[in-house]
Amino acid sequence: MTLTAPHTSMAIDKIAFGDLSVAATGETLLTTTDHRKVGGLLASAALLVGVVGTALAGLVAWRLDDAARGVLPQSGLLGASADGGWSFARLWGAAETGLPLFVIAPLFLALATIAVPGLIGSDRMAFPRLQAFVLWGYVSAVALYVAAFTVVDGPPFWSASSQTAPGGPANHASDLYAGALGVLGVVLFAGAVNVVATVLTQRRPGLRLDHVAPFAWSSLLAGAITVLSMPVFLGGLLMSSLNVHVNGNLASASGFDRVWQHTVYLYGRPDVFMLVLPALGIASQMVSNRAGTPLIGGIASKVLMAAFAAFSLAVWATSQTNAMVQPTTTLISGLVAVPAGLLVLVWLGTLAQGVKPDASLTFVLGVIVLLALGAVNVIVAGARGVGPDLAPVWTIGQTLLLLTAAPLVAALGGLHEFAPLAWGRRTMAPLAGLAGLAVLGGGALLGIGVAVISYKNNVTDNATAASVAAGVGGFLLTAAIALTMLNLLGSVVGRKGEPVQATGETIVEGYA
Amino acid sequence: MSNVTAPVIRGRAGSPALVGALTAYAGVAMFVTAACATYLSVRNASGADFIEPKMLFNNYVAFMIVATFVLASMAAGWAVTSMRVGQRRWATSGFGLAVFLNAAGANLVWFIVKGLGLGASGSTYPVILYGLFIVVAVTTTIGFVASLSGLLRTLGGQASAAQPHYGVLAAWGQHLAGASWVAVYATIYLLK
Repeated sequence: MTLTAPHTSMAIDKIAFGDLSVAATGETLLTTTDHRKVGGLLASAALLVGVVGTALAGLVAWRLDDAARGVLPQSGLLGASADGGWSFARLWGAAETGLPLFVIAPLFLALATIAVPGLIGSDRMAFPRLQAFVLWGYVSAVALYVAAFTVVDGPPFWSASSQTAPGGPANHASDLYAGALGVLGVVLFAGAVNVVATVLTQRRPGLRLDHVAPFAWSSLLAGAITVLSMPVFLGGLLMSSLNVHVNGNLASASGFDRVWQHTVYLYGRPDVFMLVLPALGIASQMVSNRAGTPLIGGIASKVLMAAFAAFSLAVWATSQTNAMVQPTTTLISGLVAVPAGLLVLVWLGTLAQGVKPDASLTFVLGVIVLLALGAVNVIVAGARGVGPDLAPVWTIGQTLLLLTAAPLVAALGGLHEFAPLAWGRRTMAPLAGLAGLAVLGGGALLGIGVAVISYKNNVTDNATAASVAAGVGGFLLTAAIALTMLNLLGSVVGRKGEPVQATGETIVEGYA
Repeated sequence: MSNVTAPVIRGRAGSPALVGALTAYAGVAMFVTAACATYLSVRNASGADFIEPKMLFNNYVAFMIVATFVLASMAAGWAVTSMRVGQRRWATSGFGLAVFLNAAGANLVWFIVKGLGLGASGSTYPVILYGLFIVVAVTTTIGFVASLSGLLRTLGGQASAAQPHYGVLAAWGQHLAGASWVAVYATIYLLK
């Protein structure tokens, strides 16, 4: 048995869409290698984690004003527990790391698993069993991650927003945390290799690489960057874990702070910037499908996405000496905003040619609004300044806005858009539209609310109102994910969605 | 239904196994690069006393490892060339030699690690150095597994002149292991 052997499911045109049974192939959901079922299971797992993660984010954001003032109560669920229990810092750490890494990235990988083979005219991933490994590896990583936040054997360990490396000694919590991130890193790396190999080798005859659908193109680029950058993260994680275990002084060594911020620090790596790229691909796909024509400008949209991918690597070229609000944000890394902005203009130009109204446009609107809010947040923070010691809070707010909310809008939209391709049924449009509005409003409230707290002088003036708004935003995100899950369950499992005989060609009409 | 199985023409980028393996190897190369960059970044900021004298004593052994891995890469390359021209015995010998040399290289690396004598704490140097050797261990394992799979597939007839990609990806795995040690050697002993 090898990873390259073909799976046992039938050709795509022989499969009864919407039939979730696996009896015909002798596979169960635990052993299946069918890309649509593996992708569906991966998406379901990521959505479940997303419900918990966004609820945690809302809960913690609700009390962020007190945390910023340093007056957090010493007891209760959100107390600053000295024994390392379920403290404010732990919950916040769980949410801020979990949302981009354990929700957004796996969701996009799930969408690529579901949709990319169909979009390129294939019935399988390049390595079907490898993608099944990715699914169960992800579940294992989540289990380790949950365990890391439930083990109580020391103070809160380092988290995603830690701009400096942790020192020793090691405890079980930090071991489990590093183990969870390590397993997840390997899993995302393997999934990215599979996506890249699928797009490069499984295209139907005659389909040139520059003619593939936008989401397939963005998945290829995101996969390539993940392949290049995830091992760097794993290398940094290895050094840091080793340091903690041998009680070394690497954390305080000159020069390692820069290594940390460019490798392990969650918000300073290309693969985290890359969470936006699949979102751009999905939005491009939805715009093209609703307009019924390829995006205007010919190959320009693909060039812009490639430029976005290339500029994301610029975070490695930055240094602390010219940093703006956060250590890895400089003018060079800020260049990623240029292709993203131009791509939005391409979408608007395409939609101006005529559009077929659909709930998916809500998600496109969400991506545009949240990206614009992120840009405004940078300008305001630059002009007004960030409060003393509150740069990490601003960073978290900006990250929630750009690396969690905007991609989440696109991911939920992608589930709506690709449901016919994956399960042969459309989702229910009213519920999809409602979820789109909820995730748009929730993302904006959460991201901006948290960021506003960090603006200079706001801790005493407006922090309480901003904190409540951020909390509401978090719960709105939870509601949006729950609505999407209900929609998928009702439409696909409950068979209430309109049946569609969709193939990759009908989804990407005009591209083939 | 016809019994004739027509060849499925996929994209133009070659076999999935070869493309997938090369993509993964690119990622592993970044893993090695990151470890070397960490060493150099901290070394540059930490001053000239970063190198411990004991490591310089082992320079001879370290160069022996370079020679061993380079020979292993050459053996794997010879195996692939032989396989492409249909010389199965030479291909088998090449991959067999690569496996043997890889094991010898791994043994030498283990000898160096045992002799480092740096202790476990109190300094930045051991952490980064041990990290580099863990990276080397990973790539050496990849090279060993790749060459062994090349050997077994050649013996089993799955790698041949007609379908050389399994042999090619095995050889690239061996090249990756060799290049990794050369990079680590240059970082520790030449750039210092």
